[in-house]
Amino acid sequence: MSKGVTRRSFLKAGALTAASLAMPNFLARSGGSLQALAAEAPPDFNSALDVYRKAWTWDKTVRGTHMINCWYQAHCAFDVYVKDGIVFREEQAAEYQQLNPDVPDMNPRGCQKGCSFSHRMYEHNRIKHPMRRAGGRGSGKWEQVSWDDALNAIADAFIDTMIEEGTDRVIWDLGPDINIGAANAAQARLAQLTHSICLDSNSSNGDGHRGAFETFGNVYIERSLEDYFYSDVIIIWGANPIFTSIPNAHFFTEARYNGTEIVCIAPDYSASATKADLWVPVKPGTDAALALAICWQIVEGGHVNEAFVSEQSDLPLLVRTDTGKFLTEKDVDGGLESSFYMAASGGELREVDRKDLDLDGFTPDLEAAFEVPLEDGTKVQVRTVFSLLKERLSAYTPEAASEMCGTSPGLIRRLSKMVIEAKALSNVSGSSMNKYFHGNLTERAMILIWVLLGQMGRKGAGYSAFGFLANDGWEDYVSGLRMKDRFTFGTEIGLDLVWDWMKGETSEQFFKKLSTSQFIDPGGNLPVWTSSALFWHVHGGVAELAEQADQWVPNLKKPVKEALHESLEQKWLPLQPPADKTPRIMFHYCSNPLRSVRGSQKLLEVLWPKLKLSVAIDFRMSSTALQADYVLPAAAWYEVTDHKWVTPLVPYNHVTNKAVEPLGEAKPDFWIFTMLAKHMEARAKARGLDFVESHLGKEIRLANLYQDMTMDGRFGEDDGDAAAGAILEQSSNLSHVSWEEQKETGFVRYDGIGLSPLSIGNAGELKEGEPFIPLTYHIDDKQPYPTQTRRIQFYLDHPLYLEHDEHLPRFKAPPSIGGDYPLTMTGGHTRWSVHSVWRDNALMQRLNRGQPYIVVGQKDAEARSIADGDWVRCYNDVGEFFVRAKVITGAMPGQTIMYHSWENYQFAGSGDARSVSPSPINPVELAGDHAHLKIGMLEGQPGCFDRDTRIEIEKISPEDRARLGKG
Amino acid sequence: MSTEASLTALERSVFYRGLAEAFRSPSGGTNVLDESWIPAPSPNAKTEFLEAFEPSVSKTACSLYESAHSSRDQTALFEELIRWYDHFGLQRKAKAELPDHISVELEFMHFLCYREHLSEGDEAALGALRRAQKDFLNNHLHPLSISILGYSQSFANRFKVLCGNCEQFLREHTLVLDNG
Amino acid sequence: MTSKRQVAMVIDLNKCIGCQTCTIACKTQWTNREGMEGMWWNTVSTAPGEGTPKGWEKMGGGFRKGKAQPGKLPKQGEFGTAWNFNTDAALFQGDTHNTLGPITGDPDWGTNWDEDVGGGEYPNSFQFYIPRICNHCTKPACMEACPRGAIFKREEDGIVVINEDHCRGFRFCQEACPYKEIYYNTVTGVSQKCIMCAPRLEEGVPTACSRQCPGRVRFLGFLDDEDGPIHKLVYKYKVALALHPEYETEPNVFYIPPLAPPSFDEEGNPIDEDRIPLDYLESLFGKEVGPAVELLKAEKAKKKAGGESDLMDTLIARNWMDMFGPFTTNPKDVARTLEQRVQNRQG
Repeated sequence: MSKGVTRRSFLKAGALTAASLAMPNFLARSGGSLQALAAEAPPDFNSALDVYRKAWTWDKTVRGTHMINCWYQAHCAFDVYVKDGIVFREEQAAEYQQLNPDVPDMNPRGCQKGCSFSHRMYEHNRIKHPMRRAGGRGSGKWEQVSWDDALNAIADAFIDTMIEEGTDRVIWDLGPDINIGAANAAQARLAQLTHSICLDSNSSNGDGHRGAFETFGNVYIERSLEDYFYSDVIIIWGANPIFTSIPNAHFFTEARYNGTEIVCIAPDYSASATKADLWVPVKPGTDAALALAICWQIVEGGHVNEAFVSEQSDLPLLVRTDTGKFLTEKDVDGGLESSFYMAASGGELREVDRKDLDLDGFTPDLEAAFEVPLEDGTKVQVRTVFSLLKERLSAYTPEAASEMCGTSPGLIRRLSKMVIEAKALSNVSGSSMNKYFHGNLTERAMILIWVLLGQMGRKGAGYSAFGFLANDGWEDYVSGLRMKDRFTFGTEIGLDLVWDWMKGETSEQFFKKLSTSQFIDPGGNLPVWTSSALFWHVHGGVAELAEQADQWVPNLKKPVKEALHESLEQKWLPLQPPADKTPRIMFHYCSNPLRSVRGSQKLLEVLWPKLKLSVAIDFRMSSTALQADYVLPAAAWYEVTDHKWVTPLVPYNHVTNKAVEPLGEAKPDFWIFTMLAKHMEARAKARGLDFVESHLGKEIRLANLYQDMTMDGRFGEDDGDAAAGAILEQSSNLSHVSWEEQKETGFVRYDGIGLSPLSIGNAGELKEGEPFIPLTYHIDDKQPYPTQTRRIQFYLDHPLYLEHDEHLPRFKAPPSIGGDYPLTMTGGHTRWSVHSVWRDNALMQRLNRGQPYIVVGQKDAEARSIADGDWVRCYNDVGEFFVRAKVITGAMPGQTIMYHSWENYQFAGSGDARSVSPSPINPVELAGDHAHLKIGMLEGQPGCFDRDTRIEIEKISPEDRARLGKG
Repeated sequence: MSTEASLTALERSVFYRGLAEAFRSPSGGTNVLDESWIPAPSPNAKTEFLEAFEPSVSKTACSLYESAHSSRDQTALFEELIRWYDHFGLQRKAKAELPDHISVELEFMHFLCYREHLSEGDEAALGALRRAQKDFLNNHLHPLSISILGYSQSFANRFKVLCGNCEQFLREHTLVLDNG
Repeated sequence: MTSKRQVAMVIDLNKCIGCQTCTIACKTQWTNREGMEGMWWNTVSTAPGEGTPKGWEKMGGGFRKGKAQPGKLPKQGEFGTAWNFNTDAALFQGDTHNTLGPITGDPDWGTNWDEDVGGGEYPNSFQFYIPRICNHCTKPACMEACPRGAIFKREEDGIVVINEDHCRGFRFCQEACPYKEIYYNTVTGVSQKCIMCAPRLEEGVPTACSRQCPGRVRFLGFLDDEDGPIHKLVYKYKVALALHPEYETEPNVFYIPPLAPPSFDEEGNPIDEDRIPLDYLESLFGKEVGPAVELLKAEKAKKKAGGESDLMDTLIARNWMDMFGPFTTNPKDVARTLEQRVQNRQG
């Protein structure tokens, strides 16, 4: 120390004379002035222990939850403990009432991640101020800007892009915070009012449940947790609920004590397998062979529930053997192409009633095969779907199937026996199967088991696909109209729907059509959605990675690229903006595509250079926010009041209350979107601009945008709480409890599935004291399914399916995606994070290994001289990444597991887990121009497939490890 | 040693205020501290500030939160600091910075020094306040400033100087309290 | 010296899903103070495995035929280090040379390092999760080993507590405890351990690890409460067993032993042999584990056949509150007084 720095001359002249207290962060606790407090005699102080003497009391506890899509395990009511405007801890509220004395109650819902969100929200990657990039993208150069400056700049760019290139060049990339509450109602409303494009993230997440969609015309089929207590056999298949459904898991372990047999089908002796009464190992991606072997046991043993399949499925329907198409009324007498036939024994045709599944005592001949005279005078041989299926199933004897899936014939027989003898058979659904290239075939084969046995629509019996249960006031809020009024406005879609209505179609079909119309409706006034998988493949350049797919996937009928081109040309699947137009602005709303998209390394190279503006709206700095132009700080989940959708598994709407003020300048999502509308209106007015024309040819009323956004001022930027309440008040399935009361209790049981296009597929009643059972509208009430044949449909006569020999369920060997390498890199959701939100949280990491790792089985590790904890290089033709090996006893030889959602910046070296997964699109998933193979919200879109990824791993030297840098 | 010993409690209080303001915003502190002590903000001060102090976006930044520099649990640290502030009658404002931000800790010292100034002549009060200042500096603020200083070589001039002078100011104040 | 009553816990290993919510509940409530960052008063380990502290089952301690046995002092790192992350240097940078990771470099041990590693050989791999806290033994080896008399067993509930004012940090208790459930605080220089959430129990609130457990794994109550599930499971059905009873400390935490799916023969066909070797279970829970497992299987079979089973119904605990004996208060209703007591302890 040469010279002191504390001379009074360093104080500015005048600073001292004006000296008084300047304390922006504090108040006097007594309520008086700080000046008066300072003048009081101070308390005694001897050591820091003194500050610990006073009792620590909480200012309040507040009911809250976490606005994150943890899907199957959502949601949990918490009490949030607050002191001095800071959340210190949270503990489960645990006040759920027991449904009835037969079943366990749901307490105390919550997991280790929810129990430490208070730690997460104050971690150092929290974003506290709006920031603008001050150097190149990703350069790390930023400047803090005011909300006004940020919103004005974004508003200007938004308006410029709309005028210069079109409203469809502005893209909303929606992440896991979508709550079907006020927050994303504001986002959706702004998108609708400006005709900008929302990405449906389900497809690029690979959560599409394509097989269920192909079979039921709908993926939203899920029961309530309590219903598992009425099952006597539960199959965990394509799921790992012990990791991913932590608050739900006790229903399975307790059902086991209740006498239920738990089966777990998985390659590895997973955490869920440890809780099973029977574990069935199966080679990754070969589950269809196992399922079809069970089906063959059912058919061969004469266990088919003929009444059920005759009434509910397409198995009795007749198919032309010449074209492979269903025999239609048009063929027979020139009538409707959408009218199909069954046969009475003896070969008499019977037209299928499209409006009612009830056969009125008619017994179709399931094995019929005969000649039918056609209108054109020719004759054609027809056969039932059942007879074709039976022929196909005969190839799946236990011995033959064992060759395909690796499960022993003895085990297949034992499993088949359990399944056949079950009184009430259910499954635990996850989203794993959709992430296999042929996962759709697998899921169709799985569903066939349940349908052949008629194990559906009863307590404890049924196939679960994808869960979704939401309020139905949200769409109304977004559109500013009552949904039911919509078709009276005489738009194109409206007339179409009126026609459907007159044809006697169900409300399910009606509302599902509205869902489709959000993607393709040129005449409606809805936000325009597009498939994220298509978007990333076409606009993001991911398709370039998949150009070698023809070498990886055996027997492809046409190159993936060509199939994609054809589908876009034919407009089977709509893409917004179209392939020849360039996206210009992207809003990443809590989304993180640079981490999550398979093959995300292409996005920075192909998509980002096209973008004039990339805006990240989030509460934490993600891999994607690091590459944005603007970062807008969103409030965390204890800093807003709003509500959150769930699934039928836990049919309680959940509410979070604002416990503390948003940190720094963070703002609720609702505020951000509403204020953006306000700024856009102001900027448009300043330019003298009244409206622009959207890509749909509609007027976008820029000069009235804020007025429209707020419904004439009713819901201004600070009225998120009121908007959240208004959504519930106009919901048919949640308005039985007032918003004020819901805020207080934090949760309320739905009293119906409602009319949301996303929930309505559950097609059942929420009854007091009873578990929720899906599909009873079809099974009990005989309402038709939203499929081409109006039945559960196993036969798909779409040309793409016929061409690929996938018109019936079958087994196809898993492709070698990424090249011919010996190890399959499977994956799964981790126990330690939901998406990437907790992945780098210190508490979670300390209970993990602190770094990313790949799970390897003992034998594969030994063969490569890899020991537990060694650093390894994982590679294939597409890319590489470096992690540590975790050697376990439960992995199947040939299988590795890369549990998901590590942030890119947690990997040492340049690659990350997505770098080896090019994820080519499966051509059949590009089908369209079909009665039910068409796009809808979260369904009917191509998926992403990383579970068939093939890799090799090799140990790296300590020197190479050191060269990778920290991590 | 410097002329520090001759600084009055009020002067020190003003210094703390200036320091708190300087760590709060890119051009803060200028109304209190002379340019010979902290360089005037450059036209790029906003970006330089984030580069220096916003680790979530900048390569070379250093967090201004004590919990980022300590192995202690963040929540426990929040609790301890809130106990400190509460002990002296202070309550955190609803929209305040987190309690472990260096500007909040400096603001607290600003308050303690100001209170010391108002307590002239009351030896018991002065004793308590000086013991508290010493303990708080030793256990929280000074180690934090040392840790931040360690990152400061790459900072823009204003913030490099700020970190250096801040650490030295706290060190000298600690010495005065030790000797007092 | 003997307590009037004893609070006890039964942990059901068939319901434990290894989610560590208990660990987090305990951590955020009790062990976040200075010097406690690396402490985990509650752990959940995958068995078989080294557990926490690493290799604790080979460290001795306890008694044999009433005589205190020598024990090893676990090293600090064997409990697992609370890694700090270079969040400031990494997130931050997008620079690959600053990948986010533990500041201290590549770790080679952590408290849950062996998670899901398991034993056996595929496809006959086996594993289960085993949560552990202080056993609040009836004959605590730690108490006997403490030369300061700083460890005592509370008369009203048998909770074993360290008086931190008397403790001088000699760590004899750590050597003597055969379960290695005592930690040393290098900052305050005293030994610390699970206090069975005594301040919560005093307010009628279940322990954090019990109440916050989403798997509904832990029964809590007084051992002598004949109507309570603990008495039933420990004494009536004898399915709840102490861990390593051979140490003779008479633990008051008991375990329902794990069931597992059948193992496979060489062709991959299921056979009746237990997947978890009985001798491994016996090495943990003693010879009584065989009959306990058989009873669980028999009662489950009874349920499957449509019969009644009080044992199964007890373990299911349809009404969650039935698991906690007299401790039925919601912590939010006593939030103020609860925290006050925490402070009394700390002060």
